Amino acid sequence: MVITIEVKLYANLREFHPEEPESKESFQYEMPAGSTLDDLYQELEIPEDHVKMNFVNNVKKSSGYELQEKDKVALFPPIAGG
Amino acid sequence: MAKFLRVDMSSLEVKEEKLPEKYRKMGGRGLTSGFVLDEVKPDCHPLGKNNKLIFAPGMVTGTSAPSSGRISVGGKSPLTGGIKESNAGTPFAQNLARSGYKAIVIEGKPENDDKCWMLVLDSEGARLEEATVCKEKKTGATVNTLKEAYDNHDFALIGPAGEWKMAMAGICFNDPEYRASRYSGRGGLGAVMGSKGLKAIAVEKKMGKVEIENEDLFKQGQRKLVKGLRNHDVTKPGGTLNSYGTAALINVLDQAGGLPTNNFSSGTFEGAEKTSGETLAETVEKRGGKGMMGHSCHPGCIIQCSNVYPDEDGEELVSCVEYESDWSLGANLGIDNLDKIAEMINICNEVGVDTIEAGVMLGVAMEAGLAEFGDADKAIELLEEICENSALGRVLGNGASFTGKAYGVTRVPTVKDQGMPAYEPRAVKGIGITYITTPMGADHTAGYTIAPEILSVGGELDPLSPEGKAELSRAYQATTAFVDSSGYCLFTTFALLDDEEAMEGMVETVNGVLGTDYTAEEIVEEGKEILKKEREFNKRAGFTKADDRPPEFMREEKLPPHNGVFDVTDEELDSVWDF
Ligand code: SF4
Repeated sequence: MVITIEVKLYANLREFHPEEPESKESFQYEMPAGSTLDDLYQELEIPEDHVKMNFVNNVKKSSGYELQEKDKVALFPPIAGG
Repeated sequence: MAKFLRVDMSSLEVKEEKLPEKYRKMGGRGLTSGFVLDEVKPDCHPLGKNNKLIFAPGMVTGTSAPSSGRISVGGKSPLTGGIKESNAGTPFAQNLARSGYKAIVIEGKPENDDKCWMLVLDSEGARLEEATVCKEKKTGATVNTLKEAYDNHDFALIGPAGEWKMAMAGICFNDPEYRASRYSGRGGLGAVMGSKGLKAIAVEKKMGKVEIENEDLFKQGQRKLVKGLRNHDVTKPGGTLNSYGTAALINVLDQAGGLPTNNFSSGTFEGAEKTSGETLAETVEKRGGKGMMGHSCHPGCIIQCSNVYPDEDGEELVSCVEYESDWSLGANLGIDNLDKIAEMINICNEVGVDTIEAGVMLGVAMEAGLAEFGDADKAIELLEEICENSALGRVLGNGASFTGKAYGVTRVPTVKDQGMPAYEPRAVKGIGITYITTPMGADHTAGYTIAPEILSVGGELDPLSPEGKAELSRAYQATTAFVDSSGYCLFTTFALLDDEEAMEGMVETVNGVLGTDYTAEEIVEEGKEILKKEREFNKRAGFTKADDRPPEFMREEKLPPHNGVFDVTDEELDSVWDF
């Protein structure tokens, strides 16, 4: 079974946008059911240590999180500020 | 001899005094809070002759330690009625430190206010000179005027809002290129300076050198710290702070459901992307001209998180668009236009008010119906009222709580009458605890638990859970009290939290300068001592546990998208102070 998720990349992760590098637009992505965020990084060819924060449907998740149909995924590199 | 300057604005006398022994190993916030507790009558009127205003550079400020050009300003706050320390990065801090004075204490008040004064500190000594030519001048024009006569100096100054004693007036400092743009913004200390008839302070550059007790130790620590800052993904050159500025947080907090929107009525903002650090960096690059990312608030910062925002023609509009201002005048007002946000920041900088308080105040004003959420032009008109010192401007210029009272608004996001910064307590519990319990009034920098709660820096915690957050906030508040005393920019801590060697280096630089032997554990204890002093002042000023509580609406109104309330109990809030 395949699930479709919506992915948005931020800051310098935008270079890994599969359709249009540097784009700020989100994209739909198909993954086999049971895939995790770690699998998604691999699919998008994002080196694992580049991703620091994951939010799925506005909730912070770890990289082992199992993706669900229609999840909205946001991936961030290390970011901080005040 | 360690010394400080005492400036009596009643008699217009300036005296050099020996720094009491108990202050010798202190700097920055530790020193300002020490002076406030020891010398300021807790029940004094913040704008009266018995309040004092203290300027103190950090322990290592003025040395070659990286990102350490910070200054603390302290006094009794006209906004909160409690103790205040407000911190800024500026070459003024470095050159005050190099003058040999560990602090400047401004006290008293002139009989009448038809004149205003400036304190000049140069190789000829320290003296007060009349500065009435700058009376009610905006900050940019004031710096330009002063620079003509004092051409090798850095400045601390206030805008008209400070002279008009508005409770959200800040104290402004020049940046390395003489923009009037760096602020000890919070808590209305600009009004305290205004009440004393002091328009500005000028300090000559490089009057001397900061004494270093143990050069070798200092250098060793400096190397470790530089390495740590250069290696960490957040703080390194080309890292996220350098490339996108602090505004990179807009999208992060939006995704976390913790970006306060439309006066704290939602945790996500549709216009987040348009006002994000990514869009900011893209705009700066596209427009070119005078715009730049990676700007530094003082020479010697490795991180360089500041920026210069250009208009469409590449001309300079303002420095700088940072996360807090971007949010307070953007998402918090439903405004998604960076040009308008930049224009509002510029108005605030020029008239001399805190951008956070201004934005929170405007959110409350919008709630009251003075403007629609999203209406940037009307928001700008309201800020112009402040610049005109109109009756409405005087209401707004006194901040969010005052404006809320004037218009009968109940959704007023303040603690101890200070506006909340850019993190929503209902979505990030630890930072809420910091806002509520710090003696400063709602202040994110007092204990930035966002690091582990959202940013996965220094650990990994669930932002929505209240579990263990009182302890977390206490630990962060204590460490921060020390960092604010050291002179290091709080942003160095992002590297320090993840890198033991860099932390060791930071402590070694402090030990090198002061001849102390602090360990990393002991600095937390030092921080706690500072917190205790601040809390004690507030107690004497009449504060009780009832002041360590969230605004009622946050306990009752559910915040989308998580649809939760602030569920940290009163007992847990009080437990922050169990030490
Ligand atoms: S990191 Fe930013 S705020 Fe801190 S000292 Fe450097 S430029 Fe200033």
